[in-house]
Amino acid sequence: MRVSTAQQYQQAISQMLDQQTQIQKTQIQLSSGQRLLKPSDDPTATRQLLSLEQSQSALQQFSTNLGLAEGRLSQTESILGDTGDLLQRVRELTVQANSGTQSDEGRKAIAVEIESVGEQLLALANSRDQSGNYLFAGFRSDGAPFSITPSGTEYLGDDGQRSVQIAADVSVLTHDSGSRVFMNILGANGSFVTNYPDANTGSLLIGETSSAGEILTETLSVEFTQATESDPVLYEVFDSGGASVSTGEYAENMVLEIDGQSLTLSGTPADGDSFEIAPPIPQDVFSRISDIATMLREPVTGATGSTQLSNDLARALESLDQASTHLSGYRSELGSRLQMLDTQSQVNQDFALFITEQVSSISDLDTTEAISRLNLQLVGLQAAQQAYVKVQGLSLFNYI
Amino acid sequence: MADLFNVGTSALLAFKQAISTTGNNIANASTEGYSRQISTLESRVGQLSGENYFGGGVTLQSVERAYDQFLGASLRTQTSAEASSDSFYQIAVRVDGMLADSGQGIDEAMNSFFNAWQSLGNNPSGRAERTTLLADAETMVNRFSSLSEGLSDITNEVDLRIESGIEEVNRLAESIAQLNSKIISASSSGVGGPNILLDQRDLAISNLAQLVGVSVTEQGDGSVNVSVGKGQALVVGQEFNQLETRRDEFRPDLVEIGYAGSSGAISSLLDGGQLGGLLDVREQLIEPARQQLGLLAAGLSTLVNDQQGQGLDLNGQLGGDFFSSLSLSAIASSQNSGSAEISVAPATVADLTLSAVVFSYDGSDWSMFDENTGTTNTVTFPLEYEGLELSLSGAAVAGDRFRLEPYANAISTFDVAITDPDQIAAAGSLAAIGGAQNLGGMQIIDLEATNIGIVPLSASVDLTYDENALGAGIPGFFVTGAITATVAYDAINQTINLVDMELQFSGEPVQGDSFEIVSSGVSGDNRNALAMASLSQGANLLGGSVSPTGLYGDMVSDVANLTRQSELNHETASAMLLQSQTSQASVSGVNLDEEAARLVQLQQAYQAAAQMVTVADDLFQSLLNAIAR
Repeated sequence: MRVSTAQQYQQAISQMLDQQTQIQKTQIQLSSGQRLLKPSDDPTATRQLLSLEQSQSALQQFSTNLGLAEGRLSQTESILGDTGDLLQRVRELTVQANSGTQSDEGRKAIAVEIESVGEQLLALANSRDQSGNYLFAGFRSDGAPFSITPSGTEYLGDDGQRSVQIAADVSVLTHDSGSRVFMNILGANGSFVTNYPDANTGSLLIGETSSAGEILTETLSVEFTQATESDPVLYEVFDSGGASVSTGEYAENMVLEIDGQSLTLSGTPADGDSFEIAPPIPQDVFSRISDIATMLREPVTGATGSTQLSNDLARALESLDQASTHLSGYRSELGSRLQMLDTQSQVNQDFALFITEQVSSISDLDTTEAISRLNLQLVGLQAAQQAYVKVQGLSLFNYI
Repeated sequence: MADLFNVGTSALLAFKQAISTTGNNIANASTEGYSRQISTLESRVGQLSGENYFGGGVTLQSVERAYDQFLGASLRTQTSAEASSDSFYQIAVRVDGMLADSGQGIDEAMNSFFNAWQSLGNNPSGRAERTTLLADAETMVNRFSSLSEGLSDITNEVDLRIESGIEEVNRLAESIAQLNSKIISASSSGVGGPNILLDQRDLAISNLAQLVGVSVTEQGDGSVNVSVGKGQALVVGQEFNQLETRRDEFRPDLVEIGYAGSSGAISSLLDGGQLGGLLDVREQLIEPARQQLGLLAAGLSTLVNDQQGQGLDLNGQLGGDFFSSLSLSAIASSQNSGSAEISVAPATVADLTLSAVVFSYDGSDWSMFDENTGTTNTVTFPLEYEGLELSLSGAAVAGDRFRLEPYANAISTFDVAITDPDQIAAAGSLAAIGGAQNLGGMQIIDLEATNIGIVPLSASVDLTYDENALGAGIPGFFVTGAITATVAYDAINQTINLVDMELQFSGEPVQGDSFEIVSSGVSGDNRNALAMASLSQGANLLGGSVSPTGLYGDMVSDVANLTRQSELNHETASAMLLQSQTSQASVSGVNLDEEAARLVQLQQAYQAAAQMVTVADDLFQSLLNAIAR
């Protein structure tokens, strides 16, 4: 076939230009370390890369969220720990005050200390997180949730609970409402309370109480009768309608069982003495403590007064225990949330590592391959240049 | 002797002419469009002398160009194909590169925007988080605008290239027509073909093929007819038609091509060449990318605005629009004479899709022509179509037309509407407060306003549980406050449906349990922020098939795929063109070695002929001498 001289030159030049383009591409790949220089280099990989980068960015955010959640939950847990310690202190003081050797003055001193513990507790419940928001205010985190007013404890927050996202489909609660944590805890043993009237003259002590778990829904009354000094003491239990439910002879340390609720009775009730077994009243932690202080501030007169105080304090102790149980239940819930954060953090890290590997395998350049490709391309270009120079020198005109 | 002189001089003349033809070949070795010329020598008829014929010398019979019209036609086709794929690729690779540039990447900005909602969720009343969110939203909007502007710039450039291409087409058409007329007159007067004129015309046609695909028909008189596209005549003998560019009927920002002085558009008929490539890249790559981007912006802003309207801002008010509303419209034809306008607003986000329909009015009814399926339906306004609410205003005149291309210019008004960080609605709408004396463990775990209009509540709503609220044994709630009602309690699902709100409970109710429903205390409420953040992951666009970030990914991969495809097309077309050029050059191109050899051959022949004249002279002198003696 004939070859056109002009075409021959043109072709040689355009091939060299092509080779230079290839070399330049390899050079940029090598200097940037990236295999993909533009989306069209590998459209499928680019699409994958976009999804992976989105996951990566989301994971980074989740890890930030997780860190903050961990901080807040740890803070809440530590506050709960302190709260437990304070309640324990109140319990000790109450037990101390319930001793027969205490004078009015001694009890008053204890009351002062209990009140100051109550204030510490209030301060804890009004704690703020690192952003300055109140931890236990629900959605109203810009104001202190608890305040003590003459009429009792006032909760100014709401029941909102705040959660954050820590993985694509996983959220964790970081802020619980104060009402859930510190309020609405049923009094005494959580199933019923006893009311021991001032008018009683005997020395009946209502000791340990327990319940099969049912919350009492009606108010029962227990009345004691003793015909003469030598007769046995009889008790009779009436329901809220005044109908007799059960009756029997009173004995020291007897266990009275009604409707699955049981009470241990001791001491000597006088004829006409009575007490009520009533449904528990939901109450907050702070009122419980201030109630104890109020009881202790009252001067005690005589044996009946002492019996009265003992009975009240016994119920108050049960209420304190009830609050402690409630708070430690919440604390263990916090613990399991923190546990979950740990697990999720591990899962997120593994996932992040996996994504990083994927991104790298898609977009990173295989340097070895690229360098050997570059060498090959350089050899190709050199050969083309040499061939060009040699062929160019060949012309019949040189010999004419 | 006279014979010998004649033979010698004829040879001298013929060889001199042949040498100048070869010399001309050498001189034009690098001239574009030049076809090698071949001189053909022919023996002259001799004289009968006695019983023998004696040769009469030689004559240059013809000088013809080496040209194969079939190879020429194939070269034109390949030239058009290569030019088309090249101009497509050159534009596509720039759009592709624009998307690769992380400084312009929208994916990253969208991720930051949604992450900023997450961060706000961590501290819903945080001033810093709110300000960051607004800044991230600005950045995202700017990325949308800059990408959209980048695409517009490329469209404008494509349009300018089309305009200058059309000028060039007109110039070439004129010169082909002129060459046709010269060739006709040269062919009729001379014997041999006017080689140089033919070469010039072939070059002009080849340059035309570079611009747009052509078909060429030879006429008996030596002229050619040239048509473009699907038989649109450009040059007919010595006449030619002018093309012109004008604004698209529905898209004043785009140019289209038509015959000068005639209203029809022939853009869609043109194929091949630079112009074909430019029209294709505009139609197949730039416009779809621009519209996808517009659709994404429309979907995103509607989703965010809707969600913003579901929550409370830091002032306790329902959130207003986060993004300003986009300018979506059905574009009126420039030919319309009525005052009608069709306004467009997004109605159902998930149904938004890329549409291409034309509405036309016949004086009494509106019909809708779907460009993709080719179907026509009669419609009435207002109309909900593909997630858009279309409404008509003004008076239409028969013949008026509108093209629904809602996302073409959507980005131009895409902006962040709120400036005060406090107006970001991070909080949910309602909150509950359980009664302090509640005995049961019942709690309200979720509450939602089904009629968001009631938020913020004018007063609190108080609920009290009663086992016999709706008659003996039918539990329910007595409701007072902003809503007064007695509603049944669905004990199985633990829900109540309270006129404008729905409440979800947990735990068992106890007689007398009470709840208070209030507007959310916004400072610590992040529910709406989390709902916003989850928009990025939800498949809530294009019929619920793709998330906003996914849609952007699809757009990038569409562009990348088309670019990759056009790159491969271009490689193939270049290889084919090279092959075609080589074939054509092997027939028409000048090989200098060949010409050198021919030159030497002719030179020697010339010298021999000159020697022949000397011999004749010698013979004559000998004769004269013999006579003179």
